[in-house]
Amino acid sequence: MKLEDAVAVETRPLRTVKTHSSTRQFAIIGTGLVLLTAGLVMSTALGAVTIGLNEVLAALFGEAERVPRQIVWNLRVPRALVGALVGMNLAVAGALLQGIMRNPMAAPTIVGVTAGAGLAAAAVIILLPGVAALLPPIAFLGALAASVFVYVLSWQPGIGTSPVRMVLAGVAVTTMLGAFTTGLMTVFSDRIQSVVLWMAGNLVGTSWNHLELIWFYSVIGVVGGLLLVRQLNVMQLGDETAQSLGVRVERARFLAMGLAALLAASAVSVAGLVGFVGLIVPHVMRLLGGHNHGYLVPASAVGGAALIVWADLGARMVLAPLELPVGVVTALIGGPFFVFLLYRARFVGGRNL
Amino acid sequence: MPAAEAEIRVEGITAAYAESPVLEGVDIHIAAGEMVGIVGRNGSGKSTLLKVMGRLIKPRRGAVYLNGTDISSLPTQRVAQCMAVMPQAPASPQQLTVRELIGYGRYPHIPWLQRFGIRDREVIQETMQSCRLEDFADRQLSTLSGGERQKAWIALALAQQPRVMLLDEPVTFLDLGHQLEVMDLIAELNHMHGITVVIVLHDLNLAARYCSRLIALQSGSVYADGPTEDVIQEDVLREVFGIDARIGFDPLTHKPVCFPYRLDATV
Repeated sequence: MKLEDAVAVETRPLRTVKTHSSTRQFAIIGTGLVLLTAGLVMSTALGAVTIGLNEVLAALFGEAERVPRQIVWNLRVPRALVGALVGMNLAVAGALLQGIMRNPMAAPTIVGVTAGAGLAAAAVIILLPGVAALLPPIAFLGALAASVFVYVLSWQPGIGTSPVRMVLAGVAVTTMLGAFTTGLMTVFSDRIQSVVLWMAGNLVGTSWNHLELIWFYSVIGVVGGLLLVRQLNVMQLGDETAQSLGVRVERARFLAMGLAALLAASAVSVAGLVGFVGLIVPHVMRLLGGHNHGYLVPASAVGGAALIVWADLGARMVLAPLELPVGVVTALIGGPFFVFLLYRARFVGGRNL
Repeated sequence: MPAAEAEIRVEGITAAYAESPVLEGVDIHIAAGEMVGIVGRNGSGKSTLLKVMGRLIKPRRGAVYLNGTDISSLPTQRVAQCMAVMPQAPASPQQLTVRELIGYGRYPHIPWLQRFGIRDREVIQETMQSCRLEDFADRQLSTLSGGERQKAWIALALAQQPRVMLLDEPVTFLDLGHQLEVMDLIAELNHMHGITVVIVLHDLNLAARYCSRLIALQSGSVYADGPTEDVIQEDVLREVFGIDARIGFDPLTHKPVCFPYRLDATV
């Protein structure tokens, strides 16, 4: 007893840290949903031509004149929805990857998904100009191939994968594929205009076709991610502890990696290399509401979607009629906000990343 | 928290990470309710043996039987319901609270996609009482001292309601007071709950004090296996640790104590 008392005196001055209540977590997700909805509505109203909300509603219900209806229904609505799905997919992919790798730097960029899509897209744009319709499916396949490659490289016979090997293999593959892309762009330097645009990540010209291409993977990825919540939580205790608690670690890691690859590959296939969302959104959500994946996965989904929708709105409006790549704007909005949260967490002195 | 008894039989285990075997032809029988210490030099295969027993590593040859059943034939979750493994220096997510950590111990008992039941909450509460952690329930692991944190990890294992606990150096990085506190707790779980304990220890005197039986490993094989007094012997220590030591007896506990005084001159 005495010993315990002594220890208690030594450590008690630290205030007891409140855990993130589920009320708070619901509030965060709810706020995200409100922001997302507001962003979606604004996206349909604002742009090169401002369309009043009445007209937007009229257009959605098929009663408006031809031109505003065209703009709302064929341009802005699909663009906003695709943006939301892209943001959701990237952020959930990031949350899954950070979960299985227990590494704060884990993101779709690290498991080769981005580099694979980048090389495939550069090859299509440069070598097969004029077949733009092939771009999304080929970028998608490139992304998946790269992540399979990373998984295989990180596999050791008899032992399996490990988070560290996965990160290292991912970095190696990313660097290698990036070198190929750079090589390709140097050799065909006269044709790289649209490659550069694609690499920066943008939603220009997205249509209902793009939505059809990715909604299925979004559903699979997010539902699958939610089903893995418990495994992801237990895996935070380390592979060995998780396994001794009954988690089939290798299988869970394989599934989560597969889902993350599908999510990220589908996102970059339609929007190009929108970076940053997959890395930062899960971190922001963790700082706001805690580390439980039952909260983190849906919160990242909503947060990622809201971020991209608002960022794309900004990308269209700020320098109108010129459009910025959405990837640039996500970094400009998300970066400072993230730094602010990090510093606040440091001064409040509670939560570590 | 009653726990049925469990015995473990390790038969002809050979295990390896790469080419050269870490364990070779290891046979051990651990009876239900025993508290057995595993000692040996760094790299002698202690941790590997524990991991093989806990089904964290597949052996190249041989098998581990839990109450007569080959554990490699059991589902991971089923094994987790009987056996808790506490790895060496486990990685703890900083933000986790003690209560949350212990809650994970219920994982093997909760069916997929279900939440904690009343029984699970009771077990968590009882576990915190047994490990004297109630005052720390809502503290984050990162704010605890080393000793409290180790107790929290042992509580995680206890919340599994295991019949066997496999512990890898649970006290190595603790000060003397906390070493005794944690070892007392483990011994109590062994006595009161009838949990079979296999524990890897570096400190021979701690091992001698708490374990009635010791297994000394040398280069992946069992060199000595028997009652503590038979294993803490000058010739065994010379062979297993390469040290010259005198053996005395603790006047209070009457357990053997070793006084190492130099590296073995003949090696």
